[in-house]
Order: sequence, then structure tokens, then C-alpha cells
Amino acid sequence: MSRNAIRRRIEALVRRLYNAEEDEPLSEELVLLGEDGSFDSVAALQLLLAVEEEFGIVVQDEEIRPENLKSLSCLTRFIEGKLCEP
Amino acid sequence: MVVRVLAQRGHEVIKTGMGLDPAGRIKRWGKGSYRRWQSLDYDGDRWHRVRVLNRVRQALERNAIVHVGIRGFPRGDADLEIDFCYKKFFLDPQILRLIEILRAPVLPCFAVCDYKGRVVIKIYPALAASTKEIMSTFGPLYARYLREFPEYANIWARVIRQAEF
Repeated sequence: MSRNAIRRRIEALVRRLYNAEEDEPLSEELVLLGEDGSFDSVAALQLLLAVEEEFGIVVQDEEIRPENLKSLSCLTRFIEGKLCEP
Repeated sequence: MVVRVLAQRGHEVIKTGMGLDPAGRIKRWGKGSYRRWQSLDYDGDRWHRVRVLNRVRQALERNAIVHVGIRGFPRGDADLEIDFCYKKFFLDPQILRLIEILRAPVLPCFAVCDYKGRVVIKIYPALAASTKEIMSTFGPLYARYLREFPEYANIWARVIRQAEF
């Protein structure tokens, strides 16, 4: 799956959870999780569950860290890497 | 009390909360029951809290019991109000959202005193993971508990200390 396709699917999930309008642009660097993030910890878990279901992956505890999940771009790269895992 | 009894009956129980003291608990209750009695402490940054919530999810998937203490707020959504004679008291909406997201059935449990003065853990039938069902069934049970067994309800200790709930 291409990075763009992953990104589009993540965007759809974020829009659904964030109640964002379809035409509202989501910045690549939109901060999702963390102290300045758009999501609180419960919404963050909801996003993780949605990502796992959407891409058929399992996010391990030790992978829940800023470089993997902080922004849309981080999350896209992280999922791309997970999908490439053997 | 509820956690200890359920652990002694063989259930895997995860106690969640802030500033938990597992070492002190082992000292008080012994290591035996602690083997089936673990803690998940929310205390930390937001990343830590997400990891803790993920562990809560994993525990539920293993069919473990996750103990969630009641937190209340002096302000909140009218649908989440508990009938409390002292002052306005609302349940934590975050916990209810978490229950709904994880689709975790809720077992209302209370420590009460029987007519012989013994402590008894009363466990009510499971409720569906829905805020509506929790508030219509658990809400009145909890209100009654606060009225009839104030000595077991932590909230009264906070009232006496004049702390926020």
C-alpha cells in the first residue's frame, strides 16, 4: 500500500473521530497525541483501536511514543513500517 | 477491598488509579493475593496514560477484571449527575467514554456492612457498556450506597477534608 493511500485512510479515521468536516484540510503536522495534541488519552486509544482494525496491525505498548504517533505524518510512516514487517 | 476479595477468589484483577502504592499493598495484604492483583497507575504524561489505557484494553481481552474507582466532579453533564445529598456530584465522563469504547461490561461492586458487622462485597449483575444503562442502574445504586454506607464511601473522606471530589 502506498504512503498516500495509508495517509488517506488515516485521514478518514481522524476526521471521523475528530468530527472534522470533509473539506476541512488536515495538516501533515497536525498534532494528534501528546500534551499539545488534539486528542485526549481516551480519544487516542480510540484512534489506536481504529488504526489496528483498519490496517490489521497490532500496536505494542512500547510503540506508543511520540515519534510513531504524534502527528499525521508520524502515524503514516509508522503504519507504513508496520505493514512492511514480515 | 473489592479488588482484594476478587483476587482471592481467583480472578485476575487490575486496579487502576493515580498514585497507587503496590509495595504498601503487598505489606498490608501479603504477596499471595498480589499475584493476581496488579496495578496500573495513570500518573505520568499523556503518552504514559495512553499506554496504560492500552494495557487496560489488553487486560479486558484476557478476560481480567479491571477495577475503576469512582471519580466525581462538582460540575458536569446533567445526565451524569448522582443523587448526593451533600452537593452536586457528577461522574467522570472520561471513564464512561472508555467503557463504551472498550465495550466493557460493568460489574457494580460495593463494600458494605452486614447486620453482624462483617464487611461484605456486594456484586450486582453486569451492565452493558452504555452510559445510559450505567447511569440508570449504577447511578441509583451508588446514590443509595453513599446514603446507607457512608463509612465505606471514599467520597465522604474528601468531603471532610473539603477536597475536590
